[in-house]
This record gives sequence, structure tokens and C-alpha cells, in this order.
Amino acid sequence: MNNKFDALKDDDSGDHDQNEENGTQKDGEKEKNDRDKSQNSSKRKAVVPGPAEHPLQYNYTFWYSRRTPGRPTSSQSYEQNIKQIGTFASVEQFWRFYSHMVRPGDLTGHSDFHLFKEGIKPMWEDDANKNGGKWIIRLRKGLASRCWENLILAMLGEQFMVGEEICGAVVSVRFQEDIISIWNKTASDQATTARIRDTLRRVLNLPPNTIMEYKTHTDSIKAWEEFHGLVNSGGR
Amino acid sequence: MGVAWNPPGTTLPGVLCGRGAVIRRPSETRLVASGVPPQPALSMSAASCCRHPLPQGQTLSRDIPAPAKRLSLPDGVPLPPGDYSTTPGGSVFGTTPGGTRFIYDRKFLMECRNSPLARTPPCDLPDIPGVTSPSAKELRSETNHAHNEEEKLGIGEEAQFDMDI
Repeated sequence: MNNKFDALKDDDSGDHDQNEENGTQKDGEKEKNDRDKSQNSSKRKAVVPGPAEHPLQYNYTFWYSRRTPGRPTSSQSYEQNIKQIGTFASVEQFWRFYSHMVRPGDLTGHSDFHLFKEGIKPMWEDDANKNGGKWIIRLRKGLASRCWENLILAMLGEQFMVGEEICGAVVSVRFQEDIISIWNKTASDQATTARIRDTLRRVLNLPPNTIMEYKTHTDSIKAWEEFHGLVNSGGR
Repeated sequence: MGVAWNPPGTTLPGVLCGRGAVIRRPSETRLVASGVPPQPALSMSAASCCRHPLPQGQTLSRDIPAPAKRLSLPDGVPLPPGDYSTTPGGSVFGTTPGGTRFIYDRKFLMECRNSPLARTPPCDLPDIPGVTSPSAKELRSETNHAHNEEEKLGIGEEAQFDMDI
């Protein structure tokens, strides 16, 4: 075992390879970076639905990340590894992106697609995520593309009925399995997390015995830090 | 053929099966919309969410399912009032008392995929080899290849996922 990924097999869902800087970065700086980034990617133009398009409840941003082979740890920032693909505001704009992206099942290597509300980074430390958590569903190979599509269509179509609680969704392509997860803002809100779980079962057509795991981001961070401390004795 | 969200003949709670927009009050707003009767389809009986009763005094305001109003709009008709561009990323009908939610079911979203507006690649799509295809050519889609995948998956598929065939 020579890097933190080995220790995190239990939670290998695309959000743990975070950089040390992220935890200590001041909120103000973070927000500024967020703004800079989104301004760069959208050329300072707000993304709005076009005429005759069907607006979504929220704007969303597609992200893609891939673990750099051989350099998975601290020197490689999570933020540097994660690329914004683009932001959309309508159903039609979503399809324009989605139809020109490969399906998760066709991704190679240790890759993730993230689809988050505009302004929320797919990172534990984002203000919208820091008190949150995620439902995790592990999928055997061959199912990720379809499950991901159903998951994000449910999210974009506001099928979860949990107010503002949803932050985003992730599909993580791994060696022997794929993982989909959906993140929400308030891990302690059991009514919300139960409703998300039930909606997931319905939209993914999961049988009642499918194992679904809820994990708070606090726990994810703790696990990462503990292992990171073991490896580098410096930690964050 | 494909994964069904709603088994045929059942009305699932909390699901607004209609196409287009549904006006709902967001949790933050406690304004009472007038003249909109509660929808029986959203009543709490047999609702899956009710297997987990809400704790007293908590989060009940998050989902007020009763005053939902469905707007049926033909394809291509922009939703009223049409000035949503002033609130990017925010509540689209920020000025509407009670707020609005755009709720779309899977079937409707899939239909939108065929719109000419949905087919051209975004002009700012980054070129990530093996991930995006900024050229005009559409990558193969989940929908178009659903049949192949189901065949490939074979019998084991039914054990994990009920298919709506």
C-alpha cells in the first residue's frame, strides 16, 4: 500500500483525492477562485436558457476528473485534475453537452464525471457540501452508463423533491466496479436523505436489497486525513 | 424499452408525471398560493416518503406537496413570463409569489433530446481526448445503444434491475 487510494477502497467515489491546500484555503479566496474559474469558462457571460428552450430549475456544470497515472498524491492538486466541461441552463443545453461526451462506461482509467449545480465545486470543502454527505451505490461493470443517465435526468428534472438540498452527482469509473453517488447539503437531515434514497431506488429501478450507503463528507475527510497522516506523517 | 421510472399503472407519490413545469412552493416560502387545490396524487397516503415520518417541527416545510399546479405547454413554447434571464442560476421565477419549480420527468427530457436545439455541440465545449467530442458528430448515446447493452447484459440483468419491456 503506497498511496492513499489503496486505503480508501471503501469510498472510492471520486472525491477523496483532494489537495492539502483545499482544506486551509480561506473561504474568500475559494469564492474568488470559483468566480474566476466560472468566468473563464463561460467568458463572463451568464448561462441562460435560449429562446424556446426548457429552463431547468438550476444551472448545472459538468466536470471531469482523472487520476494522473503515477502521480496520484499530494503534488497533484485535486483542483488541477478536475476540468470544467461546461455549464447549462436548459434541457436542450444539457443534451448538447451530454450528447458530445462519452458515456461513463466508455471512459478509461480512474475517471469521474461530476454534475453539480453551478457555483458548487465537486469538493467536500465547498460551502454547500461541508455539512453534507452522499448516497453511494456500487455498480457492477456494464451498468454505469444507464444508471448515470437516469440519475442525472432525475436530478435535472427535480424528481428528488427535497427543496434546495441536492448539490450534485458523481459517477466514478474504477477498476472492477463503478460507483454513482448523489450529494446533498445537510447530512443530518434524515427526512431528506431518506427521500433521496427512496427516489434513487425508484429512478434507478433498484431492487429493495440493493446496498446503498450514506456517507457524510466529514467522515470522508476524516478517513482521508487519517490515512494521509499515516503515509506522510505531516498530513494536511 | 428501457428503464422505467414508474411501473405502468401505478402512481408513485411525489412524482409529477406530466411534462413541463409544475409550480410548487419552495420550502423557504410559506406564502399560501390561492386558488390552487391540493392534488390527490400527491397525498401522503401510500407515499414512500411516509415510511419515514418527519420529525416533529422539522423539515415539514421542505415539501409542501399540496398546492401544485401543472402547466401544459406545447413544445417550443417558452415558459411564462419569459424573463428568467434576469436571474441566472437562481430561482427562475424569483418574482412569482410562492416560487416555481421546473419539474420534468424522464420521458419528457428524452423527447427534448431530439430537438434541433439540443443537437449541436456547445461552442465552448473543451476538447478532452476520449471524453468529449466537440466536432459536430454526436457520440453514441445511451439511448441508441440501450438495446445492445441489454442484449449484452443478458439474463443477469433482470436480477438486479427490473426492465420495463
